[in-house]
Amino acid sequence: MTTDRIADLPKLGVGLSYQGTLQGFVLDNLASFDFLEVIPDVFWVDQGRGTPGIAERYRENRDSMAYLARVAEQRPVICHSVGLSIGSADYFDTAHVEQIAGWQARFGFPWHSDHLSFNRLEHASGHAIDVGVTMPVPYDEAVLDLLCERVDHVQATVPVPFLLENNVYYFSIPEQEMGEAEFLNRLTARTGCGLLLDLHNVYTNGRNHGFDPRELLDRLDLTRVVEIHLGGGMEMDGTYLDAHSGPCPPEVWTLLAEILPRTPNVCGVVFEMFGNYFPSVGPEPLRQELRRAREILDRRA
Amino acid sequence: MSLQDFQRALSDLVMSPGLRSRVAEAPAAGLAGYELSDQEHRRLAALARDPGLRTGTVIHRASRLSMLSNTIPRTCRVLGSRGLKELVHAYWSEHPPQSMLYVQEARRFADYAFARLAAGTFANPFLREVLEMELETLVLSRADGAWEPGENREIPERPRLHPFCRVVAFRHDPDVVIRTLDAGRPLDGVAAEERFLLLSAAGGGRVNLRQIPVEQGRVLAVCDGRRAANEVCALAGVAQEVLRAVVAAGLVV
Repeated sequence: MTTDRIADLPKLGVGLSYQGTLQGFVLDNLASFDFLEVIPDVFWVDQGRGTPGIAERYRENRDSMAYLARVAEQRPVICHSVGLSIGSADYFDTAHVEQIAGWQARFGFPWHSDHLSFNRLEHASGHAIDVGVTMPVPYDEAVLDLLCERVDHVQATVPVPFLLENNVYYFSIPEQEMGEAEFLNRLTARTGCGLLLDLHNVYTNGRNHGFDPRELLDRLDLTRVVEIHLGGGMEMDGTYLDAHSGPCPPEVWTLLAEILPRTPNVCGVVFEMFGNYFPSVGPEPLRQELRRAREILDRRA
Repeated sequence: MSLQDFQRALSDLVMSPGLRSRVAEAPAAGLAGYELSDQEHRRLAALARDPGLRTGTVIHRASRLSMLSNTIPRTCRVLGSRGLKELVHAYWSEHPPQSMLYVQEARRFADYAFARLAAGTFANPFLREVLEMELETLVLSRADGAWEPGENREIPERPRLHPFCRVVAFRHDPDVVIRTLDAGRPLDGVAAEERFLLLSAAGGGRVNLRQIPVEQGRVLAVCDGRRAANEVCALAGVAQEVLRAVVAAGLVV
């Protein structure tokens, strides 16, 4: 049933990942992308767990919401959250899922996504903390069970397909019970959720951990991929960082062209760049990246 | 409990290079505070020696520092790289990150910095005024409206600063301080003198800044809506004409 839901999703095309510094660019360059992907968490201030009522807990910024409503009149808006922390062992934030469901009702996005990682947890001091890093979860049976239960809850609460993004990791947890591809395949097969395949994450992991990204892609069930992320990075002290700092490396464009024919359910290819790099990168290189994504996507069509 | 403690230990290893070194040298002692299975213990002991964890620390710190550099950039410049490093590292060691909410993090850091200034354990003559200015700017940039100059009115019984305005007391000329910081020059040599900066919400996230006469600043600084008009003037040490002038300007409600 869920497979059908993914197969029936609208093919939106090329997406741009929204950042605050791109406000002007977005409105001036609507023709350069087909949909806008937003991190909903930056449009509200989370008053924290225990705050009674969804509206009270998630206080939305009026000006930002007015801007988003304006964009939504002209382009589909897709939610890509950073706030669920679905891999956290100590708690599962069902209020966050409800808030996403509310946004889905408001903006009508055909799918939504979050990250396969954890970043929130309870500190020894008793405070909830946010590490600010998408921390990897061990690819173990017990973690798979935990995630499946939570994905089921998300899918029961938000009435559109849910995607999880493959993580970028700079350290690899030893003695894992399965590899990344097997873990992702079993997760998507058991829950029917989709995959947000971040190709730059795969490239970064391959470069830092010494494997060919194709080895992973060949083992992945690519029919579960609904959305693809592209981005740029930089080298720091011998480590390549998924810094979202500029143009996409040529190797990632090649990977995109190679896998698109094998991803029949892909509905969107999104380019990501952090807002603080936009002033130095400038609008034309950003338009170029979007154009290139469109060319490759069109070739597949 | 086990996975929970594994994640807590892994996060601590990312956030604390000191813990990482202790675990790398003596895993049993370094991980003694966590309830871990044997496998989790082995995993963490190996990760503590993994250079990739250092990259995690860099990203964690960059992420946390960016919350300050985006919300209180002039405060970061006032501190300079050495002062910022000293204060931020001390703050981080005592205050684990609670959220990725930029404004909340800026306020927590500000509370810490003000406490250090008050205790005399950190000194910087420009820090308090610039940090207060930036915190008030953050508040007003999220105001649900804009301040507009009013018409002449009677002095209210208990004068209160307009909710879309803030007054920050400076011990230096704020125009010179802001100009110097924005030009990336050091603040050495800026003379100490009492000044006041008026901040007003301009709508759409914008905030206007302008200096006001010292007497007006003194009186506005005590217009908290709790004191009677004559008490306000007495406390500020100014004549009632000064209060009348700020009322006429629409700065008091």
